[in-house]
Amino acid sequence: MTKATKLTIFVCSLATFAGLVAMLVFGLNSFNQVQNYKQQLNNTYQNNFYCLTDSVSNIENDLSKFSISSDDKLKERYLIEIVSLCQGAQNNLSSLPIEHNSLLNTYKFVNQLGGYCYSLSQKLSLGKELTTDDEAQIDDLHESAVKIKQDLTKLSNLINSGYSIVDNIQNPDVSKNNFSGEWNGMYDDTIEYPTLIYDGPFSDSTENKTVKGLENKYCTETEAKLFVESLFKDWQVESAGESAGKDFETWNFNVTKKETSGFVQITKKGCFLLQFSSDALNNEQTKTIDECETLAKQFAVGAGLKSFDIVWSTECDGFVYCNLVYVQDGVIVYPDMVKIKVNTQDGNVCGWEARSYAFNHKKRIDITPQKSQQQAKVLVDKNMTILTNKLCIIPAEYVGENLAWEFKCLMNDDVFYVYIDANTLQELNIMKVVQTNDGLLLM
Amino acid sequence: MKVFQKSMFFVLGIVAFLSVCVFTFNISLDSNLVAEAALTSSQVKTVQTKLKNWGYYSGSVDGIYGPKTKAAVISFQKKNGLTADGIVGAKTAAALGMSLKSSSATSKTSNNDLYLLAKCIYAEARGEPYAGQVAIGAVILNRVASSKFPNTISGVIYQPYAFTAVNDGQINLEPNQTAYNAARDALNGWDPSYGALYYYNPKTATSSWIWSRTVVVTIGNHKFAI
Repeated sequence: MTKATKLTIFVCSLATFAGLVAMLVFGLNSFNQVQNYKQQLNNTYQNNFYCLTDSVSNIENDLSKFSISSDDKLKERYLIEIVSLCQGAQNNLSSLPIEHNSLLNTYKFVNQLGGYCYSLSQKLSLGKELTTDDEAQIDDLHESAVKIKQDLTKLSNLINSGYSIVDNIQNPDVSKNNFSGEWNGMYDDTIEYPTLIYDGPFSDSTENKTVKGLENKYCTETEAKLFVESLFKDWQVESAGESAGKDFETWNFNVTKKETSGFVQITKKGCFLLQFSSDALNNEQTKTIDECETLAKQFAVGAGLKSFDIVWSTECDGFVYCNLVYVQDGVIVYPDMVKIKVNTQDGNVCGWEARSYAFNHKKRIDITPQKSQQQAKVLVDKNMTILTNKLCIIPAEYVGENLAWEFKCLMNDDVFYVYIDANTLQELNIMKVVQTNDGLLLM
Repeated sequence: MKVFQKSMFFVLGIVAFLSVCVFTFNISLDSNLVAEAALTSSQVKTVQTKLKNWGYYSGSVDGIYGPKTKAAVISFQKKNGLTADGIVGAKTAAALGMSLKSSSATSKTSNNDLYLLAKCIYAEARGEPYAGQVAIGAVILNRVASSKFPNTISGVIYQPYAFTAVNDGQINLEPNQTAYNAARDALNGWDPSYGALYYYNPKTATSSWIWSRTVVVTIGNHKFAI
């Protein structure tokens, strides 16, 4: 063996050794990092879990204090605290690595409890009294909260004994994911949650809306297709089956025109254009917003709408979104709204959304205001300049509608819409026009 | 000697290469994206709640920054030696014991929501018909409105195990214009899914639970269910 060969072997061995050392360093480094990340993740999960147990515990305490309090101001304070605690609990729940179907009822309880307490706090802030039903409902909710607290305590004991959540979340399958399994095992899904119907967010009543705006006659698929062909004259129309949603049954159609394709949904009841969306793209803007509004109105007439006006339009990425509403005797009826999307490149309508219209449209009976526009006007902030005013019907925050005076106002270059109840003069809502990269938004 | 020198360079080269690999890998592991939270009306509610608890505010906690709230803020500012301008800036927020990191731009809220929604639509449904992409966005928004899910778009999207594309990291792909358009339509109220809360691809879905849901409509490869 020559000296050169020996040297080569030596160097190769050294290289291999160096490689192994580097791999070892790399491996150890990676292992330490993974351990570090796991620890941080476990800390986050544990933090969320403990925050959840704290929130539930405080909710339970506040509910019991509420039940024995005789002062409305104090009751209101407890209710507001519970709303805040429910928001926190909901955030913590959504950060825990548990399969969604295991959390359905808990989510619903937390969200509805928050919504219900919010509606009661609103009632008290307006000087109204709580009914005996309200108080009884709170007692029922307290019982559920006590049960949840007990179940969470079992899980707390498990985690306190050294259980690592992060070591047990590798498999999202509930049967194999131990933390979901532990949750299912210890958290009792048989807890009875009361059905809550109230004027607030997440009320069960919002899930039982009725469709009022469709004519009481049914169309066949052939009739629906003829209607689509009359609306989309240059498009190819093909049947795409039918759908049976909770509120609407529809005939569906695929429509194509050159490289653009769309999906049209026609209600079986009333043969009404419920929705249309297409993948149209925009490369060049040739139409103005005013021209697009005119084209949107023409399309709406073709779709069978009568007595309407466009109340809001905004342009974004070459598309104009027009909000078109029903107008009855000069009164703007905002709940009966259709949204139309027009492509500024060719002026084609490339989107239509009319579920609100289909849900709400009907002739309103009492649209005479008890309070005059002048009476409402004095309530608008003195620092604002009133630009226009209209009488309108707006949706109530959760259920129902309100007849209101709408004042479009200007203050410090910001545009606001102020709504004052035309019967009670209560300030109902304030919307601010916000300029964003995505056009003008009302927030 | 020449061979020795070459060999040494070779060894050093390997060591240097491996060191660079380890270093680069560490950097890639350490880097992360920090998303700034955006202002929501709940911050106004927080202001109202705090002022109400401290006796400055007697109106309802409704998230609307109306004249009553403004008057309460001015009263609070006067009492605490702050500029009494009725604006909840950084100093007033600090005195209230709350953070207003994202209060400067409501437009940011909508941009973040649109971007997140577009990312999720692109990750979950690129290649699906446009209406199917809008429907995915609508499902996310339907979940936000439902009592059975988190109440924010990010909460719904990042809910553990809710979306395959979030679990496997495809959520970080940059969305195309079609996904943005679909997200914007969904935010504007388009919902071809008729209020669906779930969707699945029958060819790939493994959860037995999801098959028990009532299917409302099928668009492309996805069945949308309630």
